[in-house]
Amino acid sequence: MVQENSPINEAIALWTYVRDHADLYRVYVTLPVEHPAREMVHIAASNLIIERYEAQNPNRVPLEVAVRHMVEAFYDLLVMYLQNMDTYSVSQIATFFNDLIVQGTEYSVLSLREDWLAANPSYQPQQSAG
Amino acid sequence: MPELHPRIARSRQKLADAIIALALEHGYENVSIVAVTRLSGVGYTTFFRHYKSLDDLLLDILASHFTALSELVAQQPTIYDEAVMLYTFVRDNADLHRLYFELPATHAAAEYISAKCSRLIEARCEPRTDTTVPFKIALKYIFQTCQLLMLTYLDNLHQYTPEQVAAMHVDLVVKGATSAAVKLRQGWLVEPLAYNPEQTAISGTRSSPFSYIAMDALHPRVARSRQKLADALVSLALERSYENVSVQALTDKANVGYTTFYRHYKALTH
Repeated sequence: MVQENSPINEAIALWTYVRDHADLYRVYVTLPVEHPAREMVHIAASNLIIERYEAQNPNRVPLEVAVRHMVEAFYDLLVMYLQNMDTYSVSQIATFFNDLIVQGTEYSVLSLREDWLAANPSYQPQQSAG
Repeated sequence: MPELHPRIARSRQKLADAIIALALEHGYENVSIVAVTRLSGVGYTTFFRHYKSLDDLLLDILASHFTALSELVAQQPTIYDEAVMLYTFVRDNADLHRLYFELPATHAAAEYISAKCSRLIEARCEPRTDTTVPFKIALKYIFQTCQLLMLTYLDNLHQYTPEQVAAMHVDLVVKGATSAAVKLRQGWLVEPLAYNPEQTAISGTRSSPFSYIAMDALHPRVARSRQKLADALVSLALERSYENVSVQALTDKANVGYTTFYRHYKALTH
C-alpha cells in the first residue's frame, strides 16, 4: 500500500508534474549547464536535498558530492523520460527514480535528518532496500 | 595490438596532444586539421596518412586509452581497486577526459566509449528478479553516475585522491545500484577486506568499520591468488615454523605482490 506522505508518492507527484509540463522540461534539458535557469533549478533541488538529508559518513562521501549525484541523476532520468514518454508511465518512472536514485543513495550514503523528520511527522520513510 | 613504429607513434602523440589542447581552448567543433597540424608540427598531408578526419583521430585516441585502461582494470581484484585504477587514469589524463565530456553524446567517439563501458558494466552486473527497474535503465544509471563522479573529480582534482573517489564510487554508484536494481555477477568482490583508512578518508578521521560484501564464490583470479598464498603459508610454516614467516617471504614464495596481500588480508594471522 502506498503511504500518504511517502517517498513513492512524492516521486509520483514529481513525475506527474514533469509529464504535465513536458514541453517546459524539453526546453529545460536543452539549456547549457551554465544557463541561469538551469543553475536556479540545480540550486533549488540541491537545497531541497540538503534540508532533508545528512551524509552518513562525510569523511567518505561528502554531502555535496551526494547532492550533486542525486540532482544530476534526476536530470539524466528526466532526459530519458522525455525521450520515452510513450514507453514508460508516470508510476514506472517514479519507481525507477525512487528505487535507483532515492533509495540507492539512502542505502549507503545519505540519511534523513532528525530535525527534518521531526518537522514532517507524517512522512513515512521507506524501508532500506538490498 | 601490434607496436607502432616509434616515428609513427611520435607523430600520433603530437597530433593527439595538439587536438586535446586546441579543443579545450576553442571547443572541439572549432578545431581544424590545419590548426592541429600547425600546432603539432606534423605535415598537413602526413595527417591524412594516419587519419581520415579529426573525428577519426579523436576516436583513435579514446579507443587507445580505453584499451589501456581496460587492461589495467582487468588486473584488479575488486571493484574498489578497479575504481582506484579508473580514477587514477582520469587524473593522469585529465585533459583528455575533459575533452571527452565536451563531446555531444552522439559523437562517434562518445558512442564508442559508451558502448564499451556498458559492456564492462554488464560483465559485472546481472538483472535482479525482485526489482521493477529494467536492466538497461539500471546499466545506463551506473554508466551516467560513474561519468558524473568523473566530472566531479575533474572539478576537484586537488581536493580528492583516486582512492577517495573510488570509495565514493563504491558507495554511490555500486552499492546504490546493487541495493535497488542489479546484482553483481558471481565472484565479483566490491571491496577489499580492509581499506587503508588514510587513503580513503577525506579528513583522515574515517570512522565507519571496514566493510566486506561476501560473495557466493570468489572471482577465479582472486581465488587463485588466495590459493597461492595459502599454499605458500603452509609450505613456509612447515619449513621454518609459523612465527618465523613474514608477509614478504610469503608473497615472494607465492609470487603474489606484497601490496596485493593486503587487499586480501589484514595480517598473516587473518
